[in-house]
Amino acid sequence: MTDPDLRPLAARADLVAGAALLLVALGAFVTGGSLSWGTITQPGPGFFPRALAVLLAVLSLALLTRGLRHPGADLREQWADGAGRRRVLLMTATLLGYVLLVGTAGYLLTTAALFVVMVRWVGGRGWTATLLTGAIGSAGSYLLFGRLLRVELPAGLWVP
Amino acid sequence: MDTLSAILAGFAVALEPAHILYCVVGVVVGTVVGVLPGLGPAATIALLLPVTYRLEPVSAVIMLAGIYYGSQYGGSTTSILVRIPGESSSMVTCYDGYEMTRRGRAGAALGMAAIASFVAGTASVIGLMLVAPLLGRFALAFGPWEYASLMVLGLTLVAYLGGASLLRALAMAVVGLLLATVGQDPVAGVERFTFGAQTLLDGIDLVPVFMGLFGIAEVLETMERPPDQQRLATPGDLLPTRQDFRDSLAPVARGTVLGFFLGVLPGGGATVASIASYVTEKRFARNRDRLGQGAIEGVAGPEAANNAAATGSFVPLLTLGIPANVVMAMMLAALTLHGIRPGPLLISERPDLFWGTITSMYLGNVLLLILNLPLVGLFIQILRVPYPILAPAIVLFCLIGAYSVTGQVAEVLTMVCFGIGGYLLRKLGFEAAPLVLALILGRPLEEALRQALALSQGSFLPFLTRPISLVLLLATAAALTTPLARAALARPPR
Amino acid sequence: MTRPLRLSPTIRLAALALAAAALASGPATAQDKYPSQPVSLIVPFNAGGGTDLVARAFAEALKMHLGQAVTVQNLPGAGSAVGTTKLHGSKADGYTLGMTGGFLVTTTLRGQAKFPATDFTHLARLSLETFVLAVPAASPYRSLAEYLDAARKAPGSVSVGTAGAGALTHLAAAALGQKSGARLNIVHFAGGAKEIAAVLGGHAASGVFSQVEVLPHAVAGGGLRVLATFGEARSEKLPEVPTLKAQGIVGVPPGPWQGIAAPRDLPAPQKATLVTAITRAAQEPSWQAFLQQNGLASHFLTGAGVDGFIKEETETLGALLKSVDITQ
Repeated sequence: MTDPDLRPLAARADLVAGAALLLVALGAFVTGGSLSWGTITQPGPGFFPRALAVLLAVLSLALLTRGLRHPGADLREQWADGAGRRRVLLMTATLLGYVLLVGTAGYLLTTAALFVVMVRWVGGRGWTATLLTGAIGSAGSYLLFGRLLRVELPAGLWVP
Repeated sequence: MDTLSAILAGFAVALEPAHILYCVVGVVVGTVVGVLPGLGPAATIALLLPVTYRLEPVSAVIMLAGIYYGSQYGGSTTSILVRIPGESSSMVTCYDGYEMTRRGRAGAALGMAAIASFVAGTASVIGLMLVAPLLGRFALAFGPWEYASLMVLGLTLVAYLGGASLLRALAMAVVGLLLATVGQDPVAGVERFTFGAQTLLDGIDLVPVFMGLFGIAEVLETMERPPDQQRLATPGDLLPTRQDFRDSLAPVARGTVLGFFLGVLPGGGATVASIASYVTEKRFARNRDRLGQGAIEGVAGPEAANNAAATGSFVPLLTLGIPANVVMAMMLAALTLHGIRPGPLLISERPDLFWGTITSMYLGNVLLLILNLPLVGLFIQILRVPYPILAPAIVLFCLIGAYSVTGQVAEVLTMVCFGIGGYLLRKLGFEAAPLVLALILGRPLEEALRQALALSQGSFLPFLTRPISLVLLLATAAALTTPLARAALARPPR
Repeated sequence: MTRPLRLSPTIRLAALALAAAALASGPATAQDKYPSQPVSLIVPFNAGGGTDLVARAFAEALKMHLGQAVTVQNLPGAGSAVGTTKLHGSKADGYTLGMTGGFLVTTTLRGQAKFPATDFTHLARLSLETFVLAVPAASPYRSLAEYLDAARKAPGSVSVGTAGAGALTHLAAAALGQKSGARLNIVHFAGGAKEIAAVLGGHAASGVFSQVEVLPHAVAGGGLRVLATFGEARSEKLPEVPTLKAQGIVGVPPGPWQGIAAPRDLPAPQKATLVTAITRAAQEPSWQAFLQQNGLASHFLTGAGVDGFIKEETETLGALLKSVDITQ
């Protein structure tokens, strides 16, 4: 549900989203170009993707028009303050790092690292809490999922 | 053997000590995977299926069934407490459930979710007993034309999910439909938007998308606030009030009926049922204006609907041998390995299995209520855990949930990407629910539409001449008139 | 006369150490006694699929004759390409085996996996099933002849369902039309369950199925009537139904099969051990009972027999794939 206090920013958001979605629509239309259209009575594999791309283009143009006709407040107000933004960025980087590393470094080490970053630097907790949750979180989840439920977690560098 | 004595014989089967034990195991496991975000019943049953090959078939089915309907109980817990749904079928419970938590009413929401689930679960087991064979034939009356019309009707729900702006909801829905076209196309098997990646051949799985948009995005958004302000809610009171019960009566009844019928039909299942129930309440509930601001109807209706749908989806399996969803397909496999092939004759050939399974669901629902109500007191204590400690656990469950879909890191990457995308969408004031609904409905819609046209050799006429299809399309038209008229009259947001 | 080879004591010691190390390391111990650890069996589909069931039933029988646990590993994705690619890239040490079947041939032919189906050490064909052509019980077509006549009279008017584009049932349906000279309206469903629902409900005029799928419905008072079985001989489960061959139609894929393979270049000792164990396991009563219950014929093949079968399957299905427009 949209928070009422965000409403004034809606129009500028329409501009940004409209532009982004227009790009998606164009990309989908061009990429789907090699697929056969078929006919309206026998639609081929390309019919749905391209019809949807056209529809999305129309909707994003509508968003753009609405955004232009009702210019709203600055979108930047909507972003978090400096410290908050740093936490979000660090969290995003951590998640991407997890995906990159989990295959080679393995589940246990990467998961422990995830806990350390999130509890210590994103969460601002002390080292005792950090190391404790890191150890319990990675080892406990490994035992639960890797051993008890036999999920084939990435082994990587180190598995007991 | 008349139905009554068959039911009694079924109870005799269900109450055998070994069967009670497996029922307990099933509902406990179901509750756990329901509560944990990311890990769903489908992934869990896939993991446990090899174990059940060693059990005798009645025990195996009783346990797997318990996991499935048990998971519908727990799914709302994290929706209500931290606004992260445990299952996609508890997505809409976030709206009012979390608002109730913010108002110190987490206990009431959790309690009502359990009670609504129990009422719907029990009522639909009775439905299953009385009309299962009849409903099986009803499901067969749905051909590709009817499915296509049903999916179109389902898509109209989007119009009510978008928050303030219909235009934005439509845009999100089209993005969802477009995402649903990724992978081998459902009719010709041609690769679309796969960019040569093997992982994308099967399309984009719902679990990572949904966990990203709702789980990861929610965590990212919470991180904006300083650590000591990340937890807004307090545990508050424990149980629903008398007024809550009065308000929930009609929503639970509507949700049960809606969910049961949608569950019988393959395709949408519990998630679509819960969304349909939420939208129904938004239009028809006595307090409809309060929905979205912590109204109990927004919890009771959807939670009843997803439970009824879970029970309803047993109908095609037990009466026809046709699985309505992935979980039912795995149940079919468990039976097949024991040399049992469910079909129309299952009721007469294996009454112990048929009635034993159904009556065990009675027992299971009672057990779940006994299990879940005291857990409310425990679960709301989660609100006392500092968010910086809770967040990595939530993130980890999401990561494992995505990974366990196919055991590939690519699924985790998909989830993280949708998490970041979902965060940006929130910042721009876009709702993710229409995208999820469209992603669920997109593939079956295209499939049904193209099958229908192939079968009728290109003619659109059967959509209007087949009675069920016509009724569904008329309902679509009716559902569209209101929001379109409202949008035309309303002024755009400033 | 050559001078006697004289090595300094240091070098001699080093050589000795190297030789000892070589003896103690991997290959020597592996050859020591194969199998000395559990063997994993890759199933390129989710737990619960048809191939998974066959794999699990056979794994039970195989472990008794291999003396080691056989653990089934489900690696679904991209049809079957993810699992088969994994098997193809695994070490040929006898500890990684995989399930094969018609899917392996079609996936490789369609280029979703980047190697030919013959690029494995095929160990055995375990089971063979027959396809059937079924119509709703209320259908006007009482025999294959009536069915094909109707399709010839009004080309494209008779619809036939498949379990998916590019699936083996698709090739079988296409070949049925091609070899009988009837133009059938082929409609693809996402899997056998949805296909059977459409035929039971009378929405599609007919469908090609695996026999096991139709058995519960092909009974007196059931929802389906089987017009033909595709196997060489009449099916034990449906003895009253004539075969396609008996009605003069040949060259149609007879049905799905399941086999077991190792990565290519499996060393001879391991191969011999495995083939012996697999051959014995195929005689196990529990496995035979599984085959019987599910209407699967054994048609056990191993050695040159299975290699020839794979080669032939690749050629016939390849020709068929070229002649049917897969995008239709």
